[in-house]
Amino acid sequence: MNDARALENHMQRMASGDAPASKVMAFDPTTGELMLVPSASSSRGRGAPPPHPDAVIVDAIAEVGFFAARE
Amino acid sequence: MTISQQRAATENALLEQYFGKVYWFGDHTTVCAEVGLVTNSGTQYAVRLMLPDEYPDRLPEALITHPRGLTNYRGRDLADIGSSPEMHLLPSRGPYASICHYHPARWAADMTLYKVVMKARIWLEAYEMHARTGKPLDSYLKHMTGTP
Repeated sequence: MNDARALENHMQRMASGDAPASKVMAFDPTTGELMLVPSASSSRGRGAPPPHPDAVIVDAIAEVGFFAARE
Repeated sequence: MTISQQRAATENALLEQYFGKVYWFGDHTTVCAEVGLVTNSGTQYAVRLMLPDEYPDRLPEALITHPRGLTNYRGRDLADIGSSPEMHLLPSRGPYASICHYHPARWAADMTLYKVVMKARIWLEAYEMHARTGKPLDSYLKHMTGTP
């Protein structure tokens, strides 16, 4: 699965409350890119270097949801 | 305008750290901050945050001001669609689509513009997914309720 398709799949799973625990979404401020990185709890994430030292994990911001106008 | 100089400086520093140059403008009733965002496809957007007089006690509006005339999968202007839960849109402001971010009941004065812009960045990625697939934005972005 390519990066774009993997990110789309991840966001769809987050929207349905079924985000995989092995990956989290990160934002790289040097490129503006959203990417998937191994989560800290995954075996691949332990000790793995971050994609960029300033990259921030943004799963939590997405997971709280977006206000829907119908509310 | 009630945002303090100290608060504005803190917000500006945080926004510039992650999103680059911030353009501030406004009048005696409304303060606006505008930042540029680039999606994974390389498309450039501008997001304008309109801070109400009561900011930070009330949340800002977030408008997509560039490019003008963003359309949905079927070619309809997002600003003409106005409020849409499926597209995570609020009533538009003139030619600009207003995007959903935080629920007003979940907003707190210690939350920052950084979080709103990051939501806008995620919204834009979802928008481009919608433009490719035709699936509504709520296929990619979860709905936020008024209670935690």
